[in-house]
Amino acid sequence: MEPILIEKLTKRYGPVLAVDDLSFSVPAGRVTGFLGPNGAGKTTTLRILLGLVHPTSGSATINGVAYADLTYPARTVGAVLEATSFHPGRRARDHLLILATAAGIGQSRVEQTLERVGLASAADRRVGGFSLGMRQRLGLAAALLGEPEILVLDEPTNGLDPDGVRWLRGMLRQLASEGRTVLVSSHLLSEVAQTVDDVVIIANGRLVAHGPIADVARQAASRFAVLLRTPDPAEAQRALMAADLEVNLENDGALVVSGATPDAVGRAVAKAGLTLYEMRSLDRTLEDVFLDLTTTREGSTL
Amino acid sequence: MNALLRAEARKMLTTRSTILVAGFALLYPVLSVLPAVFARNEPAVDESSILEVLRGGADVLTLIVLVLGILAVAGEHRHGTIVPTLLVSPRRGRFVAAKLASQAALGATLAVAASAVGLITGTVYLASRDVSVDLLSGDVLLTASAVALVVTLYAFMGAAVGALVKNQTAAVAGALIWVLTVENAIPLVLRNPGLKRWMPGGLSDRLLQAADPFAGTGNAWLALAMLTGVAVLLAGVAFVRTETADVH
Ligand SMILES: Nc1ncnc2c1ncn2[C@@H]1O[C@H](COP(=O)(O)OP(=O)(O)OP(=O)(O)O)[C@@H](O)[C@H]1O
Ligand SMILES: [Mg+2]
Repeated sequence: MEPILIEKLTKRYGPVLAVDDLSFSVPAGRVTGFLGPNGAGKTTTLRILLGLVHPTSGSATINGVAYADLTYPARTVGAVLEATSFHPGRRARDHLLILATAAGIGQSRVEQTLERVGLASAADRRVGGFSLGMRQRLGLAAALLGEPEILVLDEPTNGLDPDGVRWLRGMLRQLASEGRTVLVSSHLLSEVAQTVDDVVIIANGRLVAHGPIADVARQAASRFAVLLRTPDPAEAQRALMAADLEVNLENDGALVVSGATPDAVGRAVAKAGLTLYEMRSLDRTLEDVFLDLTTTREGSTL
Repeated sequence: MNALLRAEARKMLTTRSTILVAGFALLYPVLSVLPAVFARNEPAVDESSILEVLRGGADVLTLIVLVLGILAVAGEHRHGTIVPTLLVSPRRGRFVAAKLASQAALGATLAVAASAVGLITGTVYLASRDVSVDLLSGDVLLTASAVALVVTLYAFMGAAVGALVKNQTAAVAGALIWVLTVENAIPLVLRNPGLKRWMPGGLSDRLLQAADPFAGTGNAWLALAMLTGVAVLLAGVAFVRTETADVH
């Protein structure tokens, strides 16, 4: 059974279609990156998965059941959501003790978890005085309390400094090496590229790509982009678009043709009788592919 | 459910504002009610003054537990702790039930403790004026029970209102405006002064007067039934609202 299964999920907020007929699954024992630009619907999907938000239609299940029907939710899934909040007047240890008590988890786990996320020395401090990084660690500690098989993290690197990001990556890799299933969202593919095995990419609430990160990287290598400079970029753009090429006019007047090989671009240039000042292939990064996937199909994503 | 109740108890004990307010609730009978009651009745203090002490304490205590109940639920939304809470306990009905039960228990505990403080200090004071009080008399027990019931119901209603309104500031302001002004204003506006007896504040007063021979206990039973009805109704709406709402 799939640890996480999203089926035909749709969520409407009034006129806003936040999630649109989304389906994907997350395989066991792998780290899956859940990617999409701001407003793509990542947080909404994760909140539905965790039973916090009710879907308009469709379903999201964990080990085949809705989150609310799990026998031991805290021992099955650990979650760190965006803007995880704490009572500012409460000490870190008390925050965890409350959750452990409610989940029927022993007090010794609280100390172990504080140790694991590096908060043991701050356990008696009130959370109101915590830095963003410390709050993220405390949120992760809460998620790890029940030693869950499945971890769901919504943009866990938000607000972390480079040191914190490195720490978190190490933590994720360690959790994965323990055989846990991890679903981690981000709006930057490059940020999770080194950590994840698979990616699920969404835009405007819809699935645009799903598969092993290696496949997406191959796609990056196979997708060419060619930069052109011409005396009249606007005119050249029109001519090349008429030849069915995807052409973007950059701010500095350069034209970038994507999704076509250099020979195809060269032939189109000749056919249109254009004068060239410069023509060269661009190296395409993973991030470029991500941007392509998430912007060109649906127009604006914001 | 047991685990949730213990978790709620831990939340109360680790929230400084709750502890401070609860402490104030216990000191209030000594600081304010006692001097006021005895100043009003001087020089004719008698055994029945002790009942006034009990009732006087209940007035402020109902407001305090009402607000504590609201803060206990709406505060979870305000600070966002509702998310970890619901992740551990995703069955919303159980979450609301735990809140209602734990706040009612807090209300009952504070009512008993505040009544004890009022009775002890009141008895000592009256003894110094050569008035002896039988703490186990029917009237004292009846009035103390009424105080405990009213305060418990208000604590319960506070939790229900907190679950209903969620916006902490709006819930607290709304509840206080209702108790302090709307209940008095409605009978005036409708030119029907008798209406006041049928609103929560009026019902509580009737319950607190259970030991008054002119009011009668039948009257008090009816008031208890109606006040409980209001509390159950609020809780019912709170259950439905919480079940269907999205949590952000
Ligand atoms: N409570 C809400 N009420 C109304 N609209 C909402 C609500 N929550 C989300 N939306 C809308 O749903 C869409 C998806 O939002 P969501 O927060 O899921 O995106 P996201 O992928 O997590 O974005 P980000 O990277 O910025 O966190 C957005 O258009 C957002 O405005
Ligand atoms: Mg988000």
